[in-house]
Amino acid sequence: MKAKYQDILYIIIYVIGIVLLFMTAIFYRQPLLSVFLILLLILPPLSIYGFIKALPLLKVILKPEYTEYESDTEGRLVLNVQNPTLLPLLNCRLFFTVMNMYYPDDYDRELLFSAEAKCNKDIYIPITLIGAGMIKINVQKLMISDPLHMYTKEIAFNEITELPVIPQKKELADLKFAKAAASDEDSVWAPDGELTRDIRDIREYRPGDRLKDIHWLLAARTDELPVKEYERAKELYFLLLPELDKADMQETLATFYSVAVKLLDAGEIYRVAVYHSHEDTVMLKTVDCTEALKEVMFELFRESVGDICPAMDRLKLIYPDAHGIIRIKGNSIREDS
Amino acid sequence: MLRLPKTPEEKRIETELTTLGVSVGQPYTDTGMRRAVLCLIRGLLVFLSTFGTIGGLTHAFGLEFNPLTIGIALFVISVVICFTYFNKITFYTGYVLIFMAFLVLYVVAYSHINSGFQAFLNEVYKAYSDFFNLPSTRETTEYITDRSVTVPAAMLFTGAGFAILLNISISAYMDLFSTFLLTFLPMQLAFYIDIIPPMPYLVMLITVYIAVEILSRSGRFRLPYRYKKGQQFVMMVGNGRRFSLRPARKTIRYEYLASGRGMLQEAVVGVAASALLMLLLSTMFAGRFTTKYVSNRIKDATDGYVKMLAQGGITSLFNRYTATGGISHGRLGGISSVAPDYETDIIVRLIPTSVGESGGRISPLYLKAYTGVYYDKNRFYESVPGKNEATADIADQRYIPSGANYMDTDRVAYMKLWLLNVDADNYYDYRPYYTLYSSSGRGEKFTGIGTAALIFALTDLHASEEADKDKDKMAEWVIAHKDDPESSPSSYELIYTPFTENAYYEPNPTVDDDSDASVYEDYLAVPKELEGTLDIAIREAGLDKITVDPSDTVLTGINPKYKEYIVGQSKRLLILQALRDHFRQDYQYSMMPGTTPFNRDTVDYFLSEQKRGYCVHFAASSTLILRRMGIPARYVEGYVVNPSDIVDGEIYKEPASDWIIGADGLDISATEAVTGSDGEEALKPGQIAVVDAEIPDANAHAWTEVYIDGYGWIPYEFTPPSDEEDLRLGGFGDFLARLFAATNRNRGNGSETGSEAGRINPGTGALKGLRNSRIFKIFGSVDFILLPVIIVLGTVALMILAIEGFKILKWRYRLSRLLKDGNYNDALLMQYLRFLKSLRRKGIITDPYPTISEVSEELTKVPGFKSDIKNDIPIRDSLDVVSRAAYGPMQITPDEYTATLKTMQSIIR
Repeated sequence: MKAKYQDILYIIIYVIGIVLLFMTAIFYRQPLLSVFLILLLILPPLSIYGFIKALPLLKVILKPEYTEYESDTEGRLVLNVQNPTLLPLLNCRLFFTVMNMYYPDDYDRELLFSAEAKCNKDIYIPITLIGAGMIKINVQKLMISDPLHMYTKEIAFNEITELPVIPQKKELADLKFAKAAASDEDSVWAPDGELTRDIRDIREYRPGDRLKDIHWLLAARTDELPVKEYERAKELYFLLLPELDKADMQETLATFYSVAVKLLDAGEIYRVAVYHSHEDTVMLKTVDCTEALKEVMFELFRESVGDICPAMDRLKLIYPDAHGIIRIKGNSIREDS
Repeated sequence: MLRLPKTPEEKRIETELTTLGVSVGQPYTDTGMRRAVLCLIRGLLVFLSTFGTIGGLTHAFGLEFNPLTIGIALFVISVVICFTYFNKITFYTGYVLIFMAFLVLYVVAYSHINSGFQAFLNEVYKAYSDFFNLPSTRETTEYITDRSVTVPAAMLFTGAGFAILLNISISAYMDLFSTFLLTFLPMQLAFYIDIIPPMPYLVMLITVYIAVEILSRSGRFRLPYRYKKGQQFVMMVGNGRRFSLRPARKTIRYEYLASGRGMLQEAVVGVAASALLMLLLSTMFAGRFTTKYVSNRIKDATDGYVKMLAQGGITSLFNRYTATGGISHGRLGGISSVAPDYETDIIVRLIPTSVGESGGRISPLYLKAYTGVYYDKNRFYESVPGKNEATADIADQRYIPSGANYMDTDRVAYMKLWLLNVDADNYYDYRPYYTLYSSSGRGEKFTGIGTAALIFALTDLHASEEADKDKDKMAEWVIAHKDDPESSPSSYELIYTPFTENAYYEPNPTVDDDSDASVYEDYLAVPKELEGTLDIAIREAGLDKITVDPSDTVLTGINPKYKEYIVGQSKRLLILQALRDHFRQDYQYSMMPGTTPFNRDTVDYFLSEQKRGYCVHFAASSTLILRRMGIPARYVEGYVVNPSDIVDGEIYKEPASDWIIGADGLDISATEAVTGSDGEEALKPGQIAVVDAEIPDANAHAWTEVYIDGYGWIPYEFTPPSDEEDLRLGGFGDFLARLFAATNRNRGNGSETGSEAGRINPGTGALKGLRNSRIFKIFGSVDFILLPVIIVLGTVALMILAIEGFKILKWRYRLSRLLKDGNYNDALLMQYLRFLKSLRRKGIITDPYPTISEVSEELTKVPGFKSDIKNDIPIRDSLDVVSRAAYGPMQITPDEYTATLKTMQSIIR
């Protein structure tokens, strides 16, 4: 039952109690009944007054214990409750949802707890994380009622905490991919086109840019981070394309992550084609360190996944000449010729 | 390999994992509550309520015990009982063990417990008897008289029983209502008769009420025995929005089961609040609550039942057969209280004369139906067993006013009475006669019908021939209907003779010596087993000491040959008066006397113990007492037409000749037109007013008829007037009407009329209660509650106001100190916090701790407020000043302070 309906019910019961007691007290004229009546009459204002005074001092924080997890592990959320006042607030309800952004469902969760007087305690909520993805913890609202449950205050939060769950690495065989088909040092075909060292433009830094492309000289003089944009990039990259669809999404993620880590471990810098379902387009991200890889992973986690992944088609559309793309789907890693 | 089926929990996790990619488990805390601690705290609450009740009651009725040892013992018992909820094993074995211990204790200490309990009951009976001024006190036997042993034994035993019940209401359900009933109802034993137990016991009880109420409303008190060890939350899965058009979302609820710390804190709050309250109330309003008693029907009805309980125990409350008013066919003692429905049983149309009046008192008209001849086992039968039914018929001959009875054509008019049987038992006729003022209680000897009968018996008059003529005429009027009970008409006419002052010399031709003989044969029988009781009653009333001084009679100077007769019959009349007076003095009239115990005779119980009853008890007992003294008497039932019933009735105008015979000598019918007060012509010459009197079942009555030798039966009223209230329980409308109608509590000043209802409140129709309603008086007298309530609430409100006022003063003082010290930074921040508070109150900001830029951001969103707030110089400057005051190393200037304050005030406005 909703807390506010419960309030109304309790108030009605309370009023009936008062009326009955009043009638009985009149007809039977008993001192103790009058005492009860007085008690019933003074309790609600005291309860609500104390509640209103104590409420602003109550602190409730729900957050995961660690900032990220690996899949197939167990973790926990921590609800920290602090009530520095002398009034025990036993009627607290926290409404929240916990879901992986890949999955459409979420349940309304309601946690009833107590914040005793002068308490600072943690309530742990264990979670089991089966697949990779972004766990969205949405703390919707907190409802607190006074001790007599006659008045309920609703505090809306709508605070979303994201908890990334990284796939577990798989053991992979040695990867033997060509970086890209190249005829000579200065003229190669790469997904991004022909490569040269001529600077075409200087623009603002965008996430995903390589650090070595930053125009440090200029950066030292200005407050900004200018990035050199070449006519054509010089180096060759691996281009990874994780093709996520509903059927083998978790395997794809695990394979992609394993490949990506392996490449990083080998000191390679590579690019990842990330399909953005919302815009129905593919963006290229450069990965040169673990942080960059995580950025890419998080970006992947936030995308919704359909039955079929159109990433390859979109990539071909944007970069018709691209070839040598490493397509990752399920457990298979294959090179697009 | 054997695969175990999945548990619900496993299934849930699997579903969650496949649909959500994450599964949320059972929450838990580090600060776990210990089950044992919870049991202990609940044990404390059970102890407080048990000891508060048992100790309070025992103390209230003046029984002595050592509170410390009893308290410790009860605490241990309560805690042990509460530990049944510790886990599954204790739960399933605990109650069995406790029950066995209970049984063993009972067997071992049976006589001590029983005697202690009886000691308590005796004190209770005594207190109730004193309070209600009951004619007798119930007493039970204490086998062991040493109360210092028996009382604690009974307290511990009863306490354990209470603790078991309270354990269910507190440990299992935390339910205030049942806890309240379990403790408050027993306490009513004391409170009902204005005994107030010592304060500590009341504090204990109120503590429990407060704690139980708050805990039950928070829900954090449960830790069912069946839950796993360490389980702190219970999870409930449900489908939300069941009645919504949107697809249902699954809801999962995790409920924190029990907070030991919270429970203890609530108990402490309860103790503090109740102690404070009791202290406040006892010092401020001591003695206020019991003043200014205004009686009301609910309280009076309850009083009636309480008296029944105190006198006759619980069985006295239940009826052995149904009785809703009307005549009871000679059955006695089987109903606890008379509960008439106030529906009309009989309608009587008669001439409203002042007959039966003497000395300003109007005697009611009796309609006799049932004659009880032979008494055996709680019942008066109409005939003597073994004799034919003629007994009653012969008896009836004596009183039927067949036109010959009471006849004296010279002075007396014969009147017609038309009777419609609406709902009365139509097996019987309802024959009218007056008792005159035989129960007037004026203390005069030899007045009324008895004297009249005596005088008649000594006179030698005979009916004249003229009277015979009238008899013939009357015969035409009387409808004979006695032959076939089945076809008895619902209405018929009867001729009767109202008495006048001069009617003392009535002839009574139907009585002769032969009938005297049969009367002495049939109407002196008394059951053997009652003889002892009757003899005691006779001695108590002093009837055996009554002698007649012939010089004291009005009959001096009468023919000496009748001397013996005079003395004998005069003594008879003196005995009647003495018995009536005895009933008035030492017995109480009550419509709620309680049922007679099963194995007791009603008359025996009434005379020896109960001494409270209604007409049936008095009529039956007087009949048997008189018989035991050798005076023929019989028990009679019927209806009473009260003068008030006639006053309330509807008036018709009828030709006088249709209603009166032999009216020649009387000036009853109007000889000229009578004009009413409203100018309307009331009666034409030759007309007479007749009245329809509606006789409700409440007017059913029982009385006694006593035989006067040589004359016949005279009716005699032994039932004393009531000192009780009218306890009618009619329909719901009546109930509401009566709810607010106050009653008078004027003991010993009941009316003189005969019927049950009239005895109590003459002239009350069902709605008269409403008419006489004293609703204002009842509610006007609630100041005993209102004043304390207002004062206590006022005090609380003042306290809250004082706290708030003190805070404001404190704030201002701090501000003035800061300004004095030149600390404008802190002063401005204080003002700024207050500014934020007002913004929050206006709903402009919701964040409790917003940054300064967020505040300006929010302000721009306020519709109608300055839109270009970032370019508003005073506001930008002010926010800048606030930033500097908060983070800057330098103090702001007084001017900046004043300017910023002004800006903030203007924003608020």
